[in-house]
Amino acid sequence: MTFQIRSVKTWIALTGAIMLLISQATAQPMQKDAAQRIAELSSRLKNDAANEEQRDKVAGAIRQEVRNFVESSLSPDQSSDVLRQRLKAVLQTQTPDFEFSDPPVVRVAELRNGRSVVVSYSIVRPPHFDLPTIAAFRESNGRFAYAGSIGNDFEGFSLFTHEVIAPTKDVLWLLAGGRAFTFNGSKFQFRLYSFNGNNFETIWAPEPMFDAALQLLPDGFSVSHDDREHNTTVVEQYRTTLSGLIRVR
Amino acid sequence: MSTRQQWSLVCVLGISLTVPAIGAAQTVVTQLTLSGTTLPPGPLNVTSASNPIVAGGSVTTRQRYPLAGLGQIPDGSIIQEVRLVRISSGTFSPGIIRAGMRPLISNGTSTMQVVNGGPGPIAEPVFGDLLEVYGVDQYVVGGNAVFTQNPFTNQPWTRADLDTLMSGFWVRWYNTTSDPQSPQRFSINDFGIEVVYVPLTLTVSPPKLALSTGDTGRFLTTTADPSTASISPTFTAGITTNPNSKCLATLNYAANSGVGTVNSVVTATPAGCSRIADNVRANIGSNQSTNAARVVVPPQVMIKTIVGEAGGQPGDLDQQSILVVARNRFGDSMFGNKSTWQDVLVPGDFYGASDPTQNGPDRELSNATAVFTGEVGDIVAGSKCYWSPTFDQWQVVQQAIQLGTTIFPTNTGAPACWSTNKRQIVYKASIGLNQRGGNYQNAPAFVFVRQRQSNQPSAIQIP
Repeated sequence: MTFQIRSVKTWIALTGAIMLLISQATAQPMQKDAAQRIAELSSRLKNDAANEEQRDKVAGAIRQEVRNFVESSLSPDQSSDVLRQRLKAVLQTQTPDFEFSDPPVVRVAELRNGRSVVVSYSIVRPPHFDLPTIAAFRESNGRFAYAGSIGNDFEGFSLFTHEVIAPTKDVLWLLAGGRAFTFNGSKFQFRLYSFNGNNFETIWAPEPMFDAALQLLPDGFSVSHDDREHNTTVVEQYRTTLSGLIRVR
Repeated sequence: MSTRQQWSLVCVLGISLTVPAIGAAQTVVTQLTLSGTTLPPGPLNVTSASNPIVAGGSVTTRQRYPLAGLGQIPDGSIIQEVRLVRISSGTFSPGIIRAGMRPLISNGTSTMQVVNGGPGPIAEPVFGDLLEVYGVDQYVVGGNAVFTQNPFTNQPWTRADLDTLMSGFWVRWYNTTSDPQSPQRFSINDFGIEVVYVPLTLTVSPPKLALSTGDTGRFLTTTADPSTASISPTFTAGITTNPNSKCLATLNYAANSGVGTVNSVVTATPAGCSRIADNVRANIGSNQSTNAARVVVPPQVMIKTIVGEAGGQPGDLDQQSILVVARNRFGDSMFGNKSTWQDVLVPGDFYGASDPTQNGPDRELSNATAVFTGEVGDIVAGSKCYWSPTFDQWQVVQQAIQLGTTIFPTNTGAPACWSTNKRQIVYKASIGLNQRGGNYQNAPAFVFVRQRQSNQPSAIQIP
């Protein structure tokens, strides 16, 4: 009996492994195709840099490619590491200047409304039209389904994201910041988003800050920035609590 | 019938104009012409047909002809004298008659007669008058009368007086025969009415007036020569341009009067609009200023930007350079293909554009004007972005300049323009140090960024 049970378990394990191998084997070409298409679209962005309409059109196509890939090729059963690696591979051509933006970041989390993946990346559009994207997908019927995005909140800005400790474990708090591209100086936009597996909610949306520096803290974050009107530096500190985000300084 | 029959004639003369040489504040003597063309040019020929010869000293017709003085004396001139002068030749035929003649002056209502050079009541000329014609080609030069003021009002002459002034003269002669000779023919040449005046010369200053649409105290000064002239100048403008602006301002010149010098406040509306008005001249009637001014109203957003961005910087170059950066973005598809100051100078790209300044502080107004008119060219080597580095960042930039490296340095604080392309830091040595102090002390107020080729250094210095 024990043997039988072991045999069944072994069989199940073997079957699972075989299925995973098969799915990976079929997924690899799809991943490669998606990466190839995104690479081709990216090259078009370089050629059509001066054409604003074309820039937007191609950026939209890249976003759609990423969405299609996540929805059709990624399985919620896959580990977080595998999901990250596969998405990064697809977005390998979207690597902005490190001084201004993060490389593509994939976050996988078990959230209130199910297992979710949040993808943040910048579509590189020369010479300074990178288009930040934060999109989220939730498990649905054995697949990931598009749940929502922050839209074009960061259009005209670069993009850095940091996970901030959330009040509860079933939501993801994502602190996004970016620097304005054609601003003469250093102007930052910050947003704190909460994602519960269903939709994004904006928790914090301050006015743009000049010469800002962000510091992550165990219970929140602080941001120092230049108050040009009063020619002084302002430090704001925020703490995440069960009641939400509270400014403590 | 008397053997010494008297004939009288009132005749009127048309005189050609001699164009005077006009010089500033110099007295000018000019001859006036009659208005209209009722008399033929050249010597006046009076016959019974056209101008009756009246016998017996009984004057029944006194035709008087107004002078077109108003248009012949420049507006604003100070009239010093009106002279009835210069009968230089005359004939009378048949030539056996002696005659006397007196010039007449009339204001259209009253008439005065010049008697031996001075005004007097009208009466028949008498034999022995200073101005006499004796016969064929026998005459004396005479008729001079000088009026230093209007003899009817006893006030200084005005230009309007010259249009009401009428002139003629009365001739009487004796027929030495027993029978009057009719028709008689009397002819004289070159009767002149001279006006002595000091022409008004106007100048306008300053040569360039800059103003903001929020300014209410900037003015053009009109100066009259002679300085005793009362003037109420108006203004006209020539060519208007409005480069790279979304709306055209209207200029308003406030009416003002004064003696010698008048300040006329110039304002511009609507707020934020702009204009370059060239060949702006002060006018007194048709008399225009001998020089012209340029009135420049830069778009208010240019002033706002440099007040907000570089208001504390002492150097004009500091302020001008950031506006030149903005101008360098015109028509560049990488910066939105914009073509107006209002579209380029937006708070999203230029911090200072959100400044609330509504008027034109002197230095900012002057610098905005210099860039708006193109007086200041591309002083930033084609740069389209800039930033204010801290001292630490400035040290990084300096090192890159010294090394001549093609690798773009990090931690310079440079803006994200061309963040995914090759770009170059341009340090303009004539830009002053940042006046903010603190972390910015001893660093230039602005350092610029432009695109480059991959083999060019990542940081350079220009004068």
